[in-house]
Amino acid sequence: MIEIKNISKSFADILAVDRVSVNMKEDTVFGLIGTNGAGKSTVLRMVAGVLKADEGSITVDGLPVFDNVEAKKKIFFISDEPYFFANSNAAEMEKYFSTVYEEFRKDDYYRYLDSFGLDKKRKINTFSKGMKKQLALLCGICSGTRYLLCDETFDGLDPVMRQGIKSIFAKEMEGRGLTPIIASHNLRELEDICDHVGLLHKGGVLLSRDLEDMKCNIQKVQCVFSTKEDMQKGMNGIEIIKKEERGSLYTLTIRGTREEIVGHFATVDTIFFEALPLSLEEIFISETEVVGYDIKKLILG
Amino acid sequence: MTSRNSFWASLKENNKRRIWIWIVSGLLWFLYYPVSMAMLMGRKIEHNHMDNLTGEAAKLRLTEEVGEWLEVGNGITAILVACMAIVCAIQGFSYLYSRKKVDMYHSVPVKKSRRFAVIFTNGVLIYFIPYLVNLLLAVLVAGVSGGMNGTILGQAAIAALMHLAFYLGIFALATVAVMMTGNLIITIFATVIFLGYELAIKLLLETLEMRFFSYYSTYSADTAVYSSPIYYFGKAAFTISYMGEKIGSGFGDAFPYVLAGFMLAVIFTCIAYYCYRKRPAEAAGKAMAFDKTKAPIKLLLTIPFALGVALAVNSIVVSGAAFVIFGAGLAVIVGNCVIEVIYEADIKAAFRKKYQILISGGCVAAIASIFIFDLTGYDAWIPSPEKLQDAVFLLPNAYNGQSYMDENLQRVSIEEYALSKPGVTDIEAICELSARKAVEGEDGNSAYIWVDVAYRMKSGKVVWRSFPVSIEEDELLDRITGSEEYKKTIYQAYDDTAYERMAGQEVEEVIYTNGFRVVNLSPEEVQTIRELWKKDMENMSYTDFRDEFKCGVIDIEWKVRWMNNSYYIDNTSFDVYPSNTNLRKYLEEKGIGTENYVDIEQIASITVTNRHMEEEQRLYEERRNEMGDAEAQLSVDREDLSVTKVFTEEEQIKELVNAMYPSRMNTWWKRSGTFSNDYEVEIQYKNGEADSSVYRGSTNARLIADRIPDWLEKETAYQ
Repeated sequence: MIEIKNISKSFADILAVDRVSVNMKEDTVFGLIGTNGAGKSTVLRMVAGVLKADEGSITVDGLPVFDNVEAKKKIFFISDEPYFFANSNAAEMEKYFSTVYEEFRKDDYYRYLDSFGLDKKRKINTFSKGMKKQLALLCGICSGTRYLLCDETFDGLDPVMRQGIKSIFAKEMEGRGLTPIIASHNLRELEDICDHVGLLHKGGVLLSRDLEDMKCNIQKVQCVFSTKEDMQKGMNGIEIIKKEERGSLYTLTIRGTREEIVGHFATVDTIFFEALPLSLEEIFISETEVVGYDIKKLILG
Repeated sequence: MTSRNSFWASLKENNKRRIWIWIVSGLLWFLYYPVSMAMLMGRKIEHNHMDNLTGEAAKLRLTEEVGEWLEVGNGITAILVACMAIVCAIQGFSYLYSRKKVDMYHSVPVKKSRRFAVIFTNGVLIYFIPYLVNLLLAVLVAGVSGGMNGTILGQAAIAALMHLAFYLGIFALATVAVMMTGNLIITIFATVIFLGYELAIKLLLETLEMRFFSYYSTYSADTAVYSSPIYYFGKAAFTISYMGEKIGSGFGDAFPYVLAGFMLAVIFTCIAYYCYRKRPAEAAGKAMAFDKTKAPIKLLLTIPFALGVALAVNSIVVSGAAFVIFGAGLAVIVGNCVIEVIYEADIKAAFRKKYQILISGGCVAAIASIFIFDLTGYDAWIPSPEKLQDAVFLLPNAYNGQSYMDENLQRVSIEEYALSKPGVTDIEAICELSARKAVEGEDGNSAYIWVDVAYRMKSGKVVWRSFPVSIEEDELLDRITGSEEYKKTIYQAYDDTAYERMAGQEVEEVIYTNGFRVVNLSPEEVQTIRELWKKDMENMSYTDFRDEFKCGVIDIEWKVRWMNNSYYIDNTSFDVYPSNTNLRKYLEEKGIGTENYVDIEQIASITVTNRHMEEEQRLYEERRNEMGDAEAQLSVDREDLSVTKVFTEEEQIKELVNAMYPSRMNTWWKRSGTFSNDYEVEIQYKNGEADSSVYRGSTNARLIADRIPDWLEKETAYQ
């Protein structure tokens, strides 16, 4: 597990990360989401041991990460602009990573290159941006590290590639307990990949939850009450996060499990009742609005 | 089998990123050594054919050329080595300038110490392997061409070792510059500043001391640049080149400098490694890597810059405190603003740290005050007798015309030579004379001599001062200049050990000159002349030198071996005074008269010009009230008051010769008014010989004031 405790980081007079505490558990895909300048890259660079936190601590499986080779052996960091050696090709990158990551899996690497259609002899500087990201991901996956830190790596990948990477992640997670940590400014990019999401804003953590918990604990209901008394009865005894009213049609976002909510409305006389699934985006909108943020402005643009 | 994570595997991997610099290095040394050597040998062999040189002579020509090319004193090689060192250091660690690269390199599980060691080691190998291989190829080419011998091979090996030390020093220093900065341009600036900062500061302080301290001695200037690899390499290279063929002893003398060069490289490497460990990743692309160093570096640059500007303005405007203050103030502001703009890469940041401008200005004012108001009491200082061990006295012109050599026959400056000798131990005389500093110009009738004194304290510290003493300080100056220590220091030939070293050299020429005439003596006479001179000198001291008029000078020119097969001429001079009875007697016996400067029989006429300086001054004073200074001076200059007369009468010539003192002879240590400033004298010989550029011979003379015949003033009176 990567434990981040109360870390802060400033660049000159700018506070980039402000007392962030997050735990990134094994065997999950952790999504770190936030606007540009929210501090995602800085957090990942600190987790990778590139930057030193001004305050707080970061441990990887109990080992402090900064300047610690043993901790770094467990991490592969793909920065937002991955660096490849000048005029190098995929095979040369493998040779380098093989010298620094003892468990680098060459066979898998070349197999993945084939399946992704990346020529191992072609110069990387002739690759497209997406191809470079694929290559960086393959290097990371095959490095044999437990944690794979991806900074904006999935942004711009086409759906087929995303699906391919997702399936590799699934396989690696199952096979050797890979824990990808993916930072992105776009919630939609993470929706189908992440198990746990941390939302960063202005250097601080706004929330950090399991997606499944979030999805299970919040419900969207559309209903038309028979009478005003039924409406009052229906609204009582539940935690309504958001309420919209269009004529007699109420759209309610309510905290609670599906069973609890459906059970509650079964006791109320309604002309129309429907429990709808919530998208991750809607869950975030609801959760962040509760704490006073307009998520649309923050990450949905 | 090599582990894929071993140091060697890392070296190999790192080298893959540095292939182009391997190619540059290989090509450079290939062209510089074997290719150039082949061309050089081809040309010299052709010259041998053209000059019909064969055998040893032909071989000598080739070996001389090869020696010059391969020896450590070849400046071009040193420049190439320095350039390679800077390029390799920057190229090796330049990944630190790029965030992308830092993210990759610093996130992988490689120890910082390993990464530093790999890049550093490769940086050295990139230079040294191509250098060594091509040097060996050049040796091979020279050997095949017949231009190689064991001596040159030894020189080449020593050169390779010293170039390695030099390379390491510059490479480590440039690495420190990379670590402390965040982009290429600033790194290059930093490297240049690191290389020259100490020298610049020393020159600035020396200039300030010269400008503001009355008793500053230029001998105290310390030109050693301890923080620069160039200094140690230069000293070692010079020493070795000087020793020529004596490879063993040459390297032995140069070894301390070579060792110091290596030590400096080690120190810089440690600093570079420390900075590497401490360098934050976010420094990539910034001007300065460490925020904490920004303000001190700014101060360390702006303060000397402003003081330098103030001195420059001061030298231009001569007097004008307002201009100097304005210049210094402007330099402080501009210096601070420019550096801040560089730091922040933002023109709008120029005045962001106003308090630093104030601190910088305050420091400049404080340092300037130390010099202007002599707050350290520099001029007031006199040695404490209890703390003083001895002192070296250098009286002006006592050593004129002599060159000094150390035990290796290497030419050294007078102060270096003097400091290697025991000083005057008459503490009482030293302290009393030091306390009796005269104030020059305070008494218009007195004459002064400026003495340079190196006070050697018991603590080992050496303090130099230069101050005027009255020419009438007979007792103290006699005590000091009459001492054995003083004579051994000033007169190299007086010291038996020093003289023996000289005597081992071949004598090129021995002459005696009285300023008018030059007579050649035999080299075989040198030993006798020196013994007689030393005997005479034992009883001489300051007042003898001051009151007597020199009869002449014996000059011995030695052929001293210089670099490789060349020589330089060094000379030892013996002044001959009337009281040098033993030496004069010897010269008289040889038919060299020391009584008179010139044989009256040979003189056809003497032309005397009276410039009427007093009359000129009177006219100037008279006219300056009406016309002002400049106009009055111009008017007097236009009005030629000089009167020239030619004297042919034997009696007149005799009286004039009696008053004459050859212009070529120095007149130091004489009371003011000893020589007339009015008269200029020229001799016309019967054989028609005129003044020429004949070495040490002249037809011009001055007149000794109290010997001027009475009739001369009348004869040359202004009408």
